[in-house]
Amino acid sequence: MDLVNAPQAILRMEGISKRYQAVQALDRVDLTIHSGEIHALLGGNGAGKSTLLRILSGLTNPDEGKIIFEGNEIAVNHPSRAQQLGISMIHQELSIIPDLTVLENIFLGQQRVLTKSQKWTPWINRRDLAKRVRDLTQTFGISENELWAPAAGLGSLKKRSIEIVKALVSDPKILILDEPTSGLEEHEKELLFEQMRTLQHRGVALVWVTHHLDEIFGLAAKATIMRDGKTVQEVSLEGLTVEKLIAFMFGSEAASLINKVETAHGAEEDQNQNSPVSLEVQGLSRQGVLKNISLKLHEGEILGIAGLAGAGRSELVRAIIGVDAIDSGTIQVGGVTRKINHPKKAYELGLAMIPEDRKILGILSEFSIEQNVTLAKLKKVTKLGFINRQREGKISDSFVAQLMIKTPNLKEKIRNLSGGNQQKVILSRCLNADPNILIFDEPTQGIDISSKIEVHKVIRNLAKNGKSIVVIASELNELIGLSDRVLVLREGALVGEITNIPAKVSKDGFAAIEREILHASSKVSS
Amino acid sequence: MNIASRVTRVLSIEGVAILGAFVLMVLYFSFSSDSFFVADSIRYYVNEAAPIFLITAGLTYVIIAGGIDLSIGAVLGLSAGTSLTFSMWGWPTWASALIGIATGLLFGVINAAIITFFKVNDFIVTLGTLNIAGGLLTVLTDHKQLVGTSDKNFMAIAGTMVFGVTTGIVIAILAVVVLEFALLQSSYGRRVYATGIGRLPAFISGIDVDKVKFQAYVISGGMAGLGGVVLAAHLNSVQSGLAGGYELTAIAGAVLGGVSLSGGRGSIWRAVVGALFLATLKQGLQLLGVDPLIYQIITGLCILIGVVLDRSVYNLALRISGRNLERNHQATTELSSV
Repeated sequence: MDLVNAPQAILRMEGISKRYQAVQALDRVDLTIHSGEIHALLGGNGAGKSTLLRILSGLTNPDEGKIIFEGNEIAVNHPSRAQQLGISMIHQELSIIPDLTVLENIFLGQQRVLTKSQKWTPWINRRDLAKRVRDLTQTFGISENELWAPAAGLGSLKKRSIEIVKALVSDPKILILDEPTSGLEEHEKELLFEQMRTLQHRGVALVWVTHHLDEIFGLAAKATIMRDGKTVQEVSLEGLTVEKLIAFMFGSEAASLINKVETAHGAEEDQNQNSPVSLEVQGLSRQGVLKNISLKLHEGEILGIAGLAGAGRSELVRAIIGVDAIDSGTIQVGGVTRKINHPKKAYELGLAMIPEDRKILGILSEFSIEQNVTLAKLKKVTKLGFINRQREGKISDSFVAQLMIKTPNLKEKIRNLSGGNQQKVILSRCLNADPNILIFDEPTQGIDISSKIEVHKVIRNLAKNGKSIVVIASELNELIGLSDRVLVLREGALVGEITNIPAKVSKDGFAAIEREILHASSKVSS
Repeated sequence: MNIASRVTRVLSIEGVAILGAFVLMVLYFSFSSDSFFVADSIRYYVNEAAPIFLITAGLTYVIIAGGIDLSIGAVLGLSAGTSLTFSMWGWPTWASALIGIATGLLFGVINAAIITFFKVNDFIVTLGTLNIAGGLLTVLTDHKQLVGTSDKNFMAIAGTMVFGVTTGIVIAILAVVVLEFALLQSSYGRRVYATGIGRLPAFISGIDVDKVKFQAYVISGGMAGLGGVVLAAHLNSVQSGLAGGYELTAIAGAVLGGVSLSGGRGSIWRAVVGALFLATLKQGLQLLGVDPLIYQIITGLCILIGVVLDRSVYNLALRISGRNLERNHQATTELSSV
C-alpha cells in the first residue's frame, strides 16, 4: 500500500486491551478505518469483535490503548459521547420498540438531535421531525404513512431499515453494522447491500461484522481479521477467497477440516423412508399460526423445515414440543397418540428441542456449565431428591470432552462462554435427556464456522445412530446440506415436500433445490 | 497466593460483607453498652426475632424463584392468632400448633393458586392476601387482646431451654439449616434457581415452572404459619396488627444478604444474616437509649448503606485482585440484585 499518499484514517484504534476477569478479551488490537470504505471485521466467536465494538461505541472502557478519531486522541467513555462524535451502531438484535410508531422509534434516544431541533419548546413536534427524516426514509424504503404506524406490524427488512435510518439521523461518520443480514431473506439482503453502497458513496465509513463470509466479497474492500483477542491481519479482499479467510480466522488446519466436511454429503438413495415412523403429526392447527399440518418423521431421518420468516416454522416445532398450546390435531410418538401440553411431557416421551434465540430461550445465564447440562433430566443425577454433584460433574465432563466445549472448568458460568460453546452446552442438555427425536431450531445462529461444522457433524451422527431429527434453518445452504427431506411452510400451511435431497444434490446441484424451495415458499397465495 | 489476593478472595465471597458489618456492629454495641453482650439480652432479642428468621427463610425460596410474598407478616400474625385461640379453647398443644401452621399453609396455597393459575402479578396478589390476613386477625381478636392460654405446654413450644437457648431459637435454626440444605442440594432447589434465572429457558428445558413457584409460595406460607406459632407461644398474647411489617424486615434482610430481587441468586443463610443484622441493630439502639422515633430512620439508612457497601466492597475486591474472580463484573455493577 502506498503509505505516503494514503488518506488520513478517520479512526485508528491502537493497542486496545481489555480483560474480563480470567479472560483476556482483547490483547493489543489495532483497527484502522477510512471514510467511504466498507471495512469487514471478521473472526470466530470469542475473537473479541463484540468487545472491540463495545469499546468503540462507548459501552465499555478499554484497559489500555489509544483511540484516534480524525487525528485527535479521544476517550469514548459513554454511548452519548460516541453519538456526539458521529459513531453509530446497528446492533445484531433489533432494538425496535413495537408499540412506538416508526417515527418515534427513529428518534428514540436521539437527545442530541432532538434538542438541536427543538429550540426550547418542551414538546416534540412530530410533523417537524417527520419532515426532517423524509429524504432518509424514502431512500430506505419507508413510506410517509408507515412513519406514523406502530413498528410492530413491519417485517424484518423494514425494521432493519428503521435501525439504519435511526443510525443515520445523527449524521454519523462511522456506522457499525453487527450481523446486519441476520433474519433477512435473500432478496432483502440484496436491498440492504444496496443501502450500504449508498452510504459508502456518501463518505460514511462502515464497519461490518459478519459470520457470512461469502457476503462481503464485492462489497467490502478491506477486512481486519481477529483471532483469540488479537488482530491477526488487515487484508485487502481483492483476490482472496472464503477458504483463505477461514484460514486466517481459524488457522489452516481448521480450514482444511471445514472443506472436508462440507463435501461429506453422500449420494446414496434415501433409505429412511422405509424405517419406522417415530413421530406423526396429524391436522395440527393453531388459530392464525398453523393450518392443518400433517407430517411423518422416520427413524434416522433428518427432516428440514423451510419457509420464509413468519411462515410458522418455529411455531410448528413449539407446538409439537408443548411450548405453545394447539387448537386441534394429534401427535403420535412411536405409534401411540400422546397429548403433549408441556415441554416436560415432551422430554418424558423422548423429544428434545434446541430452541432458537439462544440468549433468551436457551441458556440459564447464572448457571454453570454442569448445571445447564443436567437441567432437562435432573433425575439422572438425583438420588432421594438430592443432587449427586460427583455424578453431575462426570456427566458434564463427558459432554465437554465429546463436543469439545472450550471452557476453563465445569463451574464456569455459561454466560461467560462464546456463542458456539453455549450452543454446545445446550445441545449437551438435550442429549443428556436421551431423546429419540431432536428438534433443532436455527442451531447455528450467530456461531462461528468451526463451531457450525461441529454442530452439523453431531446432527449427522445422531441421525446415523437412528435418532430422528427435525432442523429449521433460514440459511438454505445449511438446510439442504443437512436434510434428507425438506418440508416447505407458507403462511402456516404445508405447501411442499422435497424428498431424496442428497441424491438430488449430487445430480442437479444445490442451486436447483434452492430454487425449488424458494419457489414453493414465496408463491403468492391464491 | 499472596496475602492481598487472599483477602480479596475472601471479600468476594458473597455475604462476607454483610457478615463483617454484623460483627462490627456487635462489637460496637458491646463496647458502648454494658448490657448488650450479655447472654440474657442476646437470648431475649434473638428469641424475639426467631419468627422473622423463619419467614425470611421461606421468603428466600419465593424470591429466588422470581416472585415476592408480601403477605407473610400478616399471615404470621393471623397464624399466631388462630393457634393461640385454639389453645385458649382448650385444644391440645399439638392441635393448636398444627392449626397455626395450617393457617399459614392455607394462605400459601391461596397465593400460589391465584398467581400460577390465573397468572396475576404476585406483588398484587400477596398485597391482597396481606390485607385479608390482617383483617381476619382483627376480626378474630375483636379489637381486644387475646390473652393467655393456660396450656403450659403451648408456651413451652418457644420457651423451653435446650443447651442454653430457647426452643424458639432452636426451631428457627433447624428450619434455616433444613431449608438451606434443601435449596442448595436438592433437585427441587435446583429447579427453584432455574425458574428464577430464566422462566422461559427453564420451561423449555422441561421444568414445570408453575409447579415450582406454587411450591415455593406454599413453603413461604408454611414458614409464616410456623413463625406464628412460635410467636404466639413466646408472647402468649395476640392483638390486632401483630407482626405487621415483619415482611418488610424479611425482604430488607434478604436483600441486605445479597438475595437478588430479580430472582435466581442468593441463599438462605445470607438472607438470615441480613435479618439478624436488622434485629440486632434494633436491639442495640434500644439499649443505647436512642429515641425509638429515629430507629426507623437509622434502620432505613442501614439498609441503603448496607446494600451499597456490599457492591462497593465486592467491586473493590474485584479491582484489587486484577479482576481475576469468578463473579461477573457486569452483574454487580448493574445493581441487578436490588
